[in-house]
Amino acid sequence: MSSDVLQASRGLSPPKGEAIAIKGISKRFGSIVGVDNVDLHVEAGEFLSLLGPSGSGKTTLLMMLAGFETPSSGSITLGSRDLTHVPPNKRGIGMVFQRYALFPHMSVAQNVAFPLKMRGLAKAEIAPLVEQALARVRLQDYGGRAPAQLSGGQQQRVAVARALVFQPPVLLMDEPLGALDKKLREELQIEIKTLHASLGVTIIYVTHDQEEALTMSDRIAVMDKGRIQQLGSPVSLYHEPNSSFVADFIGKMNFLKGIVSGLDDRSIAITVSGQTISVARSQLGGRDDVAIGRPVQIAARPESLSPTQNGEGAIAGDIETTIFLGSHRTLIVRSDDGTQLQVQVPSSHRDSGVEQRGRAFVRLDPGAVRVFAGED
Amino acid sequence: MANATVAATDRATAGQLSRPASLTLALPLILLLGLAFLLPVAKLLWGSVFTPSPTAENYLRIVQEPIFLKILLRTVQTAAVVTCLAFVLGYPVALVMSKLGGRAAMLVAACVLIPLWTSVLVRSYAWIVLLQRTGVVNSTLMSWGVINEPLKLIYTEGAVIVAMTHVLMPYMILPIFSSLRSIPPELDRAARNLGAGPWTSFIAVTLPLSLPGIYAGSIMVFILALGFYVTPALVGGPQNLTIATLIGQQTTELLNWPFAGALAGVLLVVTLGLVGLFRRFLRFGKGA
Amino acid sequence: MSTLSETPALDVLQSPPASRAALSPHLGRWLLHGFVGLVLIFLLLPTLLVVPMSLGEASYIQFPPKGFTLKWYHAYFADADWMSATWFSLKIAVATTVSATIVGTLASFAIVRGSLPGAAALQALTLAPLIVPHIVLAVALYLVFAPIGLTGNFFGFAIAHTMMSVPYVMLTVSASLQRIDPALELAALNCGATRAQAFWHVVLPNIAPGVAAGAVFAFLASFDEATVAFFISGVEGKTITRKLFEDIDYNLTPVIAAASTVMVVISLVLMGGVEWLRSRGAKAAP
Repeated sequence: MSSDVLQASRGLSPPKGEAIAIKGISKRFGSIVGVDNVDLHVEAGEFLSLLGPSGSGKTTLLMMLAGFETPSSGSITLGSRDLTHVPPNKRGIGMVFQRYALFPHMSVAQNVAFPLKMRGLAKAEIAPLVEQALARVRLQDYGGRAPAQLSGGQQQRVAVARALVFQPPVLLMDEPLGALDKKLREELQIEIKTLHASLGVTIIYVTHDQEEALTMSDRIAVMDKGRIQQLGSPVSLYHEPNSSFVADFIGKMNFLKGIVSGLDDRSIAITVSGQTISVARSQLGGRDDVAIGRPVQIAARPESLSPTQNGEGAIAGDIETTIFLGSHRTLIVRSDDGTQLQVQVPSSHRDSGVEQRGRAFVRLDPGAVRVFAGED
Repeated sequence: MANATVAATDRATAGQLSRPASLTLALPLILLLGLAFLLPVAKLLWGSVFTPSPTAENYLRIVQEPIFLKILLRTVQTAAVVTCLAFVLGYPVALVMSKLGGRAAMLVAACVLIPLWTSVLVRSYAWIVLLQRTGVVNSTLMSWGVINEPLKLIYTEGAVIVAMTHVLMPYMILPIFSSLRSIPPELDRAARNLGAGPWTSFIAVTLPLSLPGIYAGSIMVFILALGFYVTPALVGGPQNLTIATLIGQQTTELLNWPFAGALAGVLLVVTLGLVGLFRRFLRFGKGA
Repeated sequence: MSTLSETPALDVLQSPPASRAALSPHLGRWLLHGFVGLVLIFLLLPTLLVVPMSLGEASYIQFPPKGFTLKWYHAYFADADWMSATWFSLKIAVATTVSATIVGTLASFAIVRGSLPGAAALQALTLAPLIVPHIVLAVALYLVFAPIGLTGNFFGFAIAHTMMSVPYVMLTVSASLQRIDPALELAALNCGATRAQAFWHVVLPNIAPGVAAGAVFAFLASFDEATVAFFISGVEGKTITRKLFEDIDYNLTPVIAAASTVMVVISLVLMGGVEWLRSRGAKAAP
């Protein structure tokens, strides 16, 4: 164990996050590639989420950071320390596991004390640190309980306390809220955010829940097929996805088929459902191979579609159903060429509540769409 | 497809012991099985073929001499009868046990488990006490006036069958019990709701679904009965030799190791063959 | 409903004949329970018969036993042969328990949590001593042990019985290992524990009931084992089962019943312990 970790855990220096550099890392399971040549630099004190569907490689990447999987190639550096071949128990990185992995035969306090005991601290030194860590997650009175006597949310907080008690520079979290119900999950998201802000620890957070990633992260790495598909802030991922996969995975998205009908240096004209719209070249995501007559996909958020009274310059269709969602409603519209569109409209107390039916005309905000070419 | 496989390996392989460490931990077991199991059995079988030049003589002798063929057939026949009896007597016990709850279930389970964990020797001894000339059965029957002369019960094939059925029945009951327990009770209720009587529901639903347990129990009892030594040796007497007691006799009295090795080889092949055939039904362990 | 019952034919379809269904389950259940009761008596009675037999006065086997005496127990505990056989068996069983538990637990851990080439084959091989007839093991072990002086020998017995008991340990320990969350061990490592510390502080306490049950099974498998013991015993080194075997064959006295009762009591106390552990384990994991 490194002496600075020990020092930190004795409260001699304030906790501080450290940067992590992942270079060209790959993990193969036999012929299957779990993680494929990933480069990633995580800033000190950053909250970075690894977001992706199951099997995208996000967990394998996390397991390599924790030292539970050995990379097939590539390197991991923490601050200035090469971690690639350091065994898991010498890394000094905290981790919160999917189902908390609290030791069932130990009390809550013994669980939190375990990392300190393994670091050879004396009993007298351990007690105040455990108390402090439990207080940080508002469980100071629960030290004597068994983990099984706590609720799911409390167990999760014990796991966080155990992972942070030795004041590691980095905290790894493996879908830590997956087992909790929605309301509790949202509460704990805020709690983890607050902890992150007050401790300054670097957090790498694995989740398949895009809403959770958007809520919590400084940056998100969207993973699929073992690669990072896009890395960026929640805002940039939401508004400027660079592939239809990311566009589809984050938030709600409508996809319309269009044909390129005109082209110049700055803009592209696209015919979609009989209407022609003009978009800037900067709205092109991913590959740049557009040519007149080629098909493209237009990705439009439900909030960048709006219903309109007359059919001029709008996509015509039939309303199939309406979904009330509190702050807004979503109209499900089947356009005349068969595409299903979600259209978001603000709701107000003046709404009649009567479901709208019949014909609808949907206008597209050309400035708010993304265009993907050369994909299927 | 590939994604699903990766998902399965995502957490499964994380933090596994390295290969050298795994091998180190398993090494004592590998040495133990190699030296105390594989080596002795191999030496016994080797001796049955190489005496010292290779010969099939010992194996041919088993089928050519009528006395040995007869012992072989009697062993198989006894094992089959014991298996059938254990099934007929054991199935109802497993059935009742699976339906009971609480104390009654514990009591029945105790009645099944206590014999299982009592030495085979003690139980065979008890059968001698029961069946001998002045034993419990004879004295009871005589005091009731059913018979005037003690019957010859001990050292007969019947005695071997009864005692072995008693000794091996728990191995029949426990697998059947566990397969009956795994049948969701809704199925019986559904069948009854659809108009089946209790008997029809049993025949159409419960019995077929407990077949894996029946196979497992029957195979277990049959192979144990085939190779059983203690009970036939004590209760059967010298004129009721089985293949196991014959192997014992060949080694301790006649010192004919090559022939004993051939008999052991036949017993081994039959046993392992049956286990191989019915592998998917078998889960081992004396615990319930 | 009402529309259906207007048609008599459908009404019959709705509820099968009530009379047969009402009578037969009653009688059927009565018969079934009576039959099962008889089978249970058949199972239990011979097992426990040795207890009254060991307390009767007569010096030959007599039933029902007359009088009450502990003299056969006195005889058993005063007899040097019986005592040395009993102690020999107990020593072997304790050694077997320790070695089978250690060997089996380590190997189970390697198979369940490790990456072992040929793990499936090793598992199948481990179970083989349960399947292979004991008479085959007995003569095979005699063949190998006799020339190197391991018959009638404590170490010979410890080796043979460990081989025969290890499957029980592997079965119970593997089952326990598969039940615990593998992340527990990872969490311990992440907290700074070495592999050995993680096993000792986290894995072992959580599989302890399985290890304890395996240890008891190993003890009983050794202590009650008769066939191999019959063959690899010597004139000096003789187990209680071999001594029982000889006396049943040549010298049928109530001392055998006393010795048998001692064996039964040891077995049942230990099995009761396992059941207690198991019920506690069931309560601990809701």
